[in-house]
Amino acid sequence: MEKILGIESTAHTFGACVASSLGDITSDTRSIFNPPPGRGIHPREAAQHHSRVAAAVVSQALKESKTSLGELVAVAYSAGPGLGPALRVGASIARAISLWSDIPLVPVHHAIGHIEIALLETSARDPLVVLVSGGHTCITALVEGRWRVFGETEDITLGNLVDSFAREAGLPSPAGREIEVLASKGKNLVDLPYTVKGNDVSYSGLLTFLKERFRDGVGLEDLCFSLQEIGFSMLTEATERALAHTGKKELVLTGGVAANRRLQQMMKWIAEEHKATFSVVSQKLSGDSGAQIAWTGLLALGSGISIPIERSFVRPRWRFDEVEIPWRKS
Amino acid sequence: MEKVLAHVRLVGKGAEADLFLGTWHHMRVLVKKRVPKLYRLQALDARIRSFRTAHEARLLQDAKKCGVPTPTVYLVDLPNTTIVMEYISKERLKERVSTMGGDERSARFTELGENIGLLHQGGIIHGDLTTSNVLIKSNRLYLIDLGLGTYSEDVEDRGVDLHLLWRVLQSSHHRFAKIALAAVVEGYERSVGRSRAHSVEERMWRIDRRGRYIAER
Repeated sequence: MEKILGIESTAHTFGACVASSLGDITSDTRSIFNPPPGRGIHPREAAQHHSRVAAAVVSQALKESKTSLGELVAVAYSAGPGLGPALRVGASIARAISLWSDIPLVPVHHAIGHIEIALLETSARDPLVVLVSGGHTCITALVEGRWRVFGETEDITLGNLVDSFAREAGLPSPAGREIEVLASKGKNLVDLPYTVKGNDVSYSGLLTFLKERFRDGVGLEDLCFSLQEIGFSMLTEATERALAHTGKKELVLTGGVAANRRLQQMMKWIAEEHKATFSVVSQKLSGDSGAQIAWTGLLALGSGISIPIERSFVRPRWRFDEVEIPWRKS
Repeated sequence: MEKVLAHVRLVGKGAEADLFLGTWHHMRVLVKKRVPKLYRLQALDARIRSFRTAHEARLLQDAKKCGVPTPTVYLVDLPNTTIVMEYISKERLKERVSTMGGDERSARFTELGENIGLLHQGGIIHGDLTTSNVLIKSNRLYLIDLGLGTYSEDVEDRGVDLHLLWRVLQSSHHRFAKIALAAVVEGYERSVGRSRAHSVEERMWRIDRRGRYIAER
């Protein structure tokens, strides 16, 4: 059994995890940077937070899994996409461990991590994957060695929509849970733009309208309710189109926003309608974590992927459809 | 409607509509019924379905006026969100792309580009240009599924329309994506002229770079 350390630091979360080649997540430690309510993540402040907690988080992850540095076969880090300063903290620590222990350094694409950790938990073999998080909103499937984009947001992500609106409303960030609770108390659907373009969606207009209605004094509960109903329906519709277009028989929902029950309910409905199985990443692995990096790093390492330290740059704008996936047959 | 519509049978379930084949005044027709989507709130769902039904019927008709082959609309039953239209074919471009020869592929995509050009020239944006929404009948291409279409002369909207097709080519037909796009652009240019085609194409690439996480941006 091989063990790998994974380090995540793309945005607000600094996480570390030890995963084994048996697919066990033997530890999963994180520290989340919380900006004051009404404010977003400043990249430098996130990086300072990560630097402060990094040593403790990594030590804790090793301790929880009863693993010494010497037992690790490799160290994986999230190389992008994300906030440059935040990414560099995780990468620096991974490089140091790689040098110190003389083990390979494995760059992992954060989004591929979200996908792989969901697939580890489900039995899906050839799914259509919906990835919804702060950095991504896309509908993807593996075709000839890469996760190809079948639909995505044309502007901001679903996570952006939720967090930006929450910021306007003075709620703490990340705000997904808070918005969901408020939405459950809302009753009235506010008239807001519903924008589906083929398999793509667009959320920037919806955000503008939500902010305006909030300033007009429309109740926050009704606005959260409408945000979910309209924003999620749009993505569900685009996903249903992709399901029909690709004919896939498995649908997997992953990423931070996947934790939302209402979104799960909608996606489950279309899966059943198209006789596809539906699975969703577990609550604890939906948000950013070292686990997604460790596990994906292990898969990549198995295909001989590693990077020399001098070329181990971070890639803040790395697209996931550029990444070769040699460990999966498609 | 039921009196004249006969021999109706379900032939397919699309993403948003059930498709039936039937006869109507002795003609072979396709019946497209937008079905309720229970994941959406009922009020929202009803609004969307009814709008798209009326809108699609109008766009199909207007597209024809631009010279683009589309199914003829025979009847719109708004309360039932149903359109009765001419049956074209079950052969979609999507399945044919990989089996046809290189010359035919180029010719088909050039023709598709010409049709898109005519549509844009007439002030219509298709809104869902995928290879599933192009039918082939007696050596001619027909555009269908205009429910997401809009009326616009804006270069941005035209660019988005073409960009959508480019994305479909990359995800579903990536081996032929570049060749197919080149053919589409060539056909498009035939319909709208060189300078217009150029500005729409340029906008399409700008939209492509605008996507999330593009290194060269």
